[in-house]
This record gives sequence, C-alpha cells and structure tokens, in this order.
Amino acid sequence: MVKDITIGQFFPGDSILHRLDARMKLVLTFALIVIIFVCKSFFSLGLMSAFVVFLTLISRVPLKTILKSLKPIVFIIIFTAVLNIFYTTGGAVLAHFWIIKITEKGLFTALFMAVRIICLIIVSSLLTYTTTPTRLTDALERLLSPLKILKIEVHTIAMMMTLALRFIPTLIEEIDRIMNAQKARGADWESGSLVSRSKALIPVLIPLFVSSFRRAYELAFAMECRCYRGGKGRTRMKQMKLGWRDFAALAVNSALLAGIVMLNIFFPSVIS
Amino acid sequence: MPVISTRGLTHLYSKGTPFEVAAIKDINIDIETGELVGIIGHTGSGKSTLIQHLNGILKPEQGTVLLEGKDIWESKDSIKAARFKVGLCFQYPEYQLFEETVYKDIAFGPKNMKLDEDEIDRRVHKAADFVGLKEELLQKSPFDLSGGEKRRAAIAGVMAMEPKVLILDEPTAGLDPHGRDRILRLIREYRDNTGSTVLLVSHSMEDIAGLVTKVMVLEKSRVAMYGTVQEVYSRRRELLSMGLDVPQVTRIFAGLRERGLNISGDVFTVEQGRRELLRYLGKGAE
Repeated sequence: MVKDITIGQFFPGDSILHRLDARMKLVLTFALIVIIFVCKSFFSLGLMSAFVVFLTLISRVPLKTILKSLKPIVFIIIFTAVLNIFYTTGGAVLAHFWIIKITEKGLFTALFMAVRIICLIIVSSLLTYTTTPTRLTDALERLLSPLKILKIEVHTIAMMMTLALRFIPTLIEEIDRIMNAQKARGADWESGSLVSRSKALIPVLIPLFVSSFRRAYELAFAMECRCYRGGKGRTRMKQMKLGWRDFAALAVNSALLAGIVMLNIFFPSVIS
Repeated sequence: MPVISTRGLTHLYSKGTPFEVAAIKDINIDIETGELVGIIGHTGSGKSTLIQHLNGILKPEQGTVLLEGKDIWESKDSIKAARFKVGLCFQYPEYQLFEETVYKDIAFGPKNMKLDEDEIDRRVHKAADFVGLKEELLQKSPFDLSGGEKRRAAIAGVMAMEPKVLILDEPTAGLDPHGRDRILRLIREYRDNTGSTVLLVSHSMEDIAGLVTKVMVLEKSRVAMYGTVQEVYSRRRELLSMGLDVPQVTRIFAGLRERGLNISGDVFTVEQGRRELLRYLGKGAE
C-alpha cells in the first residue's frame, strides 16, 4: 500500500522531454501552468488539452503510469465538478428538482474545471516523470541562485531537497520492512477502533524514527569525510547547457501561448 | 505429514510495470517436523521472498502454502494463527525493537497472542534466559544494549511466541565471529530442546555445514537442490556453477583425495576434518 505513492517518481526514458535541460523544463512547466489558467474558452482549453496529449505522447511515458498520478486527485476533481454543477447558475436550465437546479453554464463550468485540473496534474507529473530528482533540484538551485544576494542559502536548501527526495524510497522500504517485522510478531493495524489502530502504529514509528536519525548521522558523517563544506567553491560534474532543443521547446511554448490568446479573443466561449 | 509445504508457489514483484520480475517460481517444498533446514542461495535467488510467504506476510501470486496440511490463506483467522505458529525473524531484527524496556519488547509478540499475564511473564523469562540475556538487562531500554545483545533480544521476541516453526533470515549478518557462533549454537539448542522445526537462511556454506539436517539451495527463483548436507555438498560442480561453493575444509579434503590419499571426501566441518585426519593417521578418534 505504501508503495503506491508516486511523488517525485522518475520514469526512465530517452525521449525529447527527458533530454531537455531541467532548468528550461522547470520554467516551461511553470509557464504551462499559467497558460492553463489563461484559457478562457472551450477552443483555447481544447488546444491546451491537445498540447498536453501531445506532450504525453512524446514523453513516451505509458498512459497507465500517467493515470496513476491522477488517481489520488480523482476525488478533488469530482468534488469541484459537483460543486460547480450545483452552484454556478446561468443559461438554460437543464434539470430542476426541489431546490437543486442544474444549468447549462453550471455543467460547462464543471467540465471546464475538471479538464483544467487534469491538465495541471499531467503537466506537473510529466516534469517529475521525465526529470531525475537530482537534476530537478540542481535546476532549482541554479534558477534560485539570484536569491544569494539576499543571503539565502540556496545551495543548502537545494541539497536538503535532494536528500529528502533521495530518502523517500528508502524510508518507504524501511516502513515496509518494519511493518512486516511487527506483523510477524502479530501486530495488527487493520482491525479494531481508531484509537487502537493508531496505537498499533507506535511499534512502526519508533523504529522508523530511530533508524532515520541513525541514517542522518551516518550520512552527515559520510559527507564530511568527503570534505563536504556546503556550496562554496563547489563545481559540478554535469554542467547544464542550453541547446537547440531547449530553445525549440521555448518557441513551441510561446506559439502555444499566442495561439491560446488568439482563440480567447476571436472565439470567446459560450460561458463566462 | 510435513509441517510446512508449498505447492506451485509463485510471486512477482512490480507486477504490471516494466520492472516486473519473478522472485520465486513454482516452488514445491515439504518440510518435516523437527528438521533444521539451511536455505542457501545467491543474493536475489528468492530466499527472503520464499520465507515471507511461509507465515503469510506476502500473499502468493499463485500456489498455496500449507501449514500442517491446511491452506494458511483459508480465512482471516487462519492467517493470524499462521503468524504465531510460524515465527519469522527478519534480517537485522534489532531494528524492530521499540519498547521502553527489553522485557516489554520481548512480551510484544505473546501479548498480541492474547495470553494471560503469568504465561507472558513465563515466556519472556524463558526466552530471555535462553538467548542469554541477564535478568537485570530486562528492565533496561533496548536501545542501551550492545549490538549482539540487541540481536539476541530481538530473536527472543520471536522465540517467546513459541512458534512451531522458527524461521530466521541471516541471523548472523554483521556480527563478529564470537557473536555468530553464539547465535548459531543457540539456534541448534533451541531446536534440540523444543523439537520445533527451524529454517535458517544463510549465504555461508561454512555456517550451516555443521548445523543443519537438510540444505535447500535456491537458484534463479527455483529450488535447485534439497537434501542432506552430504547429498547437497557432494554436488560441488553444480554449486560452483551457481556461484556457491562448499566449505573451505571440504575443498582441502577433496584436494587431498585427488592427490591419492585414502581419505573421505565427505568432510564439511573442521571437527569432522580433525577426526578424519586422525583416523587416516591411524590414531583413531580421540
């Protein structure tokens, strides 16, 4: 069950998206998220969705994996859709019973919102699926480096993030192991009241904390042994370089933005 | 009737993803009561996966696990009963310690079995005594013990459930030679005293040579050999092709035999070697 968590999961591959510079990918992902909210009509959102489908196809990440990232937010999508159906009014009334009125506009807004959220999630998970966590935090460090002027320890923050991401799978494995060990001694957190169930987690949490601290000490020690002294004077093995691909991606993104703005202006939607 | 058997046991990891691998494939084993079985195999041969099926930590993809002739996955109760009847001690079990005192930690298993206070107390003292933890250590925090003591406390926690079958996954990993010998001796005594069945996962041919009654060799997710120490260790060529080897002393005696000495090749422990050498030199045993 804990193995289903997909945060920061990387899907190995060699597609164009995988080969893009992580900095450009990060910036473009943010841009895409903004563009999703710029979409105001069905036509522009349609273009956006088509683009998302296109990205998914060229990423060569299997559809199944993409859908897995959508699973945890299915509830949120349904919830917002239902809220919109009932609370947005306007246009022709499609159904009316008691105090509930479903209007054309409500239905459209609900659909619009659902598609928007799905696009958002797919775009952001494509970023993590096609970029290793290390590259991602490296890119973040580079992009945030202007903040050094404000005496913000950008390198330390990025290192902390790298380590945190690095240890997610390790900790999940550890939890699995400890849970199995306690299960073998008859621990049971699948039955009983909520209180007894949460109490039953103590035998898992305490060993987990103990081993996390042990790991942290060991890691700090190992880093110091290799003369780690923070970001000062540190060079990189993998230099990041912007290539023609990155500029092409930027161009495509700009074209998309232009297209969407045009559609917004020339084909305004029936709603809003 | 065998105490534990498996029929067509198969388990896949990461099913349905590009990383899918079979951890174990079509395993059919029968383990008789009172047997002390050494399970040997290379890293990734499926040892750990196999033993985690025997007490129902993992649910088989295909096939069944029979405990005293009954499928352990028959019902919710049967699976719970299986966890207590088959005690499983994981690798590095000291990382499962969590209670305030050693006493409470050993009592965790028996408590989950819903035994009464007196019985729990009896079992804790018996198990602690058995693994050689002194009375005064019982009231200490398990985190204050030494490495070897922690390991023994954790093993006592499993023994206190008094399982019919005790399974230990590499109980000597990371211990010094002294601690290793102590644990191995303990396991032998436990089986001799209680008459329970013991399964011992190991990658050291030396460790299990003088200890077990049967050896099971796993290779590439399947059981490659199952038999007495002599039966298995005499198939050295096959073992070598699996990346395993017979103990050093066996190699020496095989070498002596090849050089024309009238000496037995079935020597698996140093003690056996000593006796065989004395016999050869005409002095007889002792």
